[in-house]
Amino acid sequence: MTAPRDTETPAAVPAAEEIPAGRASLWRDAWRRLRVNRLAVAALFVLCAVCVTVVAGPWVTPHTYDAQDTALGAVGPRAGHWLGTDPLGRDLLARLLQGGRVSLLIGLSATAVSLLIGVLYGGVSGFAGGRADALMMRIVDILYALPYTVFVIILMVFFGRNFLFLFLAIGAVEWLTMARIVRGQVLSLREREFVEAARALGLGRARILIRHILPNTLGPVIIYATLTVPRVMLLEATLSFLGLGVQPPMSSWGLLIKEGVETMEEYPWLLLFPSIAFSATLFALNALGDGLRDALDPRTSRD
Amino acid sequence: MTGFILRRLLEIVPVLLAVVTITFFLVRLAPGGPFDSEKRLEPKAQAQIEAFYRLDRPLHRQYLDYLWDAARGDLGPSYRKTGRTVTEWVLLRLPVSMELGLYALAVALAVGMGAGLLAALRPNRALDHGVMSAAMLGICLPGFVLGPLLTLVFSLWMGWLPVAGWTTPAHKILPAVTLGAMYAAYIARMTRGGMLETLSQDFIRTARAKGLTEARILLRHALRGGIQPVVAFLGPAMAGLFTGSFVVETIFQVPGLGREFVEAAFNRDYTMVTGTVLVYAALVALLNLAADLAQAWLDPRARGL
Repeated sequence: MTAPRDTETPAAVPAAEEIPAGRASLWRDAWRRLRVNRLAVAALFVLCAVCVTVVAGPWVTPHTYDAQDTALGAVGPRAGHWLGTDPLGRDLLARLLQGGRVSLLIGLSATAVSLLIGVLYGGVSGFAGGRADALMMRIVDILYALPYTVFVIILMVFFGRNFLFLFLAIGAVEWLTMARIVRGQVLSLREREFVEAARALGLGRARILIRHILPNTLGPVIIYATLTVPRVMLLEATLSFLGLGVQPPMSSWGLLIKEGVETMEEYPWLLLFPSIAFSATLFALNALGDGLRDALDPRTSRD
Repeated sequence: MTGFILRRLLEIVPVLLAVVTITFFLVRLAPGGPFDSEKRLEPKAQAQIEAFYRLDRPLHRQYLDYLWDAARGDLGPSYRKTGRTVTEWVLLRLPVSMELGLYALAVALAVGMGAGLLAALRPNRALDHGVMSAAMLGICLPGFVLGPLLTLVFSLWMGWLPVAGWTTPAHKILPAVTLGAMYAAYIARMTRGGMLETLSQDFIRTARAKGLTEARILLRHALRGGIQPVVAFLGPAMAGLFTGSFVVETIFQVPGLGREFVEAAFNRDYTMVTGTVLVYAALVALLNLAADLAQAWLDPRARGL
């Protein structure tokens, strides 16, 4: 009774491409296309490495992210402190790994929040159609026109620099595009035969939407979610850089860059290593997102 | 056309109303007021201050007063920076931000379109891959990474450019490059994509068949269609350039509206926050409108909308 996902997008397979014998599902097809994209595969590899390192790393490093050694002070990279230490004698590698945990956690959880709101809002709007749809999309249009970075800054200043609040605030402003994408998909999906069939079987509206229509929007949703993660991480880092995000002694990549800037003349490594880690991760996420878009939706080529 | 412009101008009104309403109540709902953290004042002085800033009136009354004043261009007195009204501060700071935004836009357009054209000339060759990788890198180097790195290299190590400030032309190079870099990267990708699409169309084949030179085909025929994605992007881009410069203005200590806003937010300067946000929102809306008009001018098909 599930929706016929396999046969959904015959147009997605370019005629010129050789179609292997047997039934290629959308996903196997996409994986095949992704595999030949060397940049995307490298990005996927880098991301896995980053994730494993920041998750497992803090258990392995001999120093903790907040252990100070003021007698040592700031020293450059050397044995025992591979990436050097900051003016308080804290090990940069340990802080970098912990910061990566925080940055990635915020990136993923805020994306999850935006995903949840965006998919539900867009799905309901597109499925309801008519006047409700017009009203809901008009609200999105108005919210789009708001300078949302400004609002996140206001929220952070006036309502405390709370960790949980940070990603809720970011997630709450990042859902708009997701809602638009899902709504567009749902609008065309709800006219399809399998929805009619589900309706004929007497299924409820909520069940049709959640079990049959939304799963079919997965492709664009995954693509956009992959591209949302770096945007969120960027916003978090910007806030932390302005002193509005993660607070010391906790660590995040944006905060480390901020601390690095303050002492960059004397201790340039404190700026360089966090910058490299942050930019490389953003690069990999964007490259993977682009690769996924090419693989899952070949009709829209690279912009 | 006039009807289109008028309708779009009218549509800006509810957006601005929403911005003012949200900001106004957001800052006032937050715990802690602008005069709380100071030493305790005498009740009489406190009452005087509250009367001066009209804080003694009921909230809905304050809101309506604010709307009425703002509609006439009066954004009220600043809570922290006495001597000038918010409107005067905005008029002082905004030109600096606009100047920075214009320089950054120039950098972004020159570098981005140049790189995108180069990449589109020989797609999928070494030059194309090089340019596109550089563009991807540019997208991943946010201002607060690029700015300090540029300062480190060109100011501290080389000593060629000043570290911060906004007085001589030399002061303006690093902020403009820092702010423009990410947009240059986006514009390069869009120019490449737009040009490739246009170059694959029939009228280009016709132009080639006529025996026109490649340069003429590119500049006279393909460019107009090829840069349309860039034009559509210009509205949001300019809005981003003029408003998203909090970080760059903070790094390079540029006395613009972005830094003023961040400072005001930190200081809980209600009127200054609301005023700057309102000006930002108005700017964004007007720039988006201007971009739509430019697009309609370039593409007759969009005019019917």
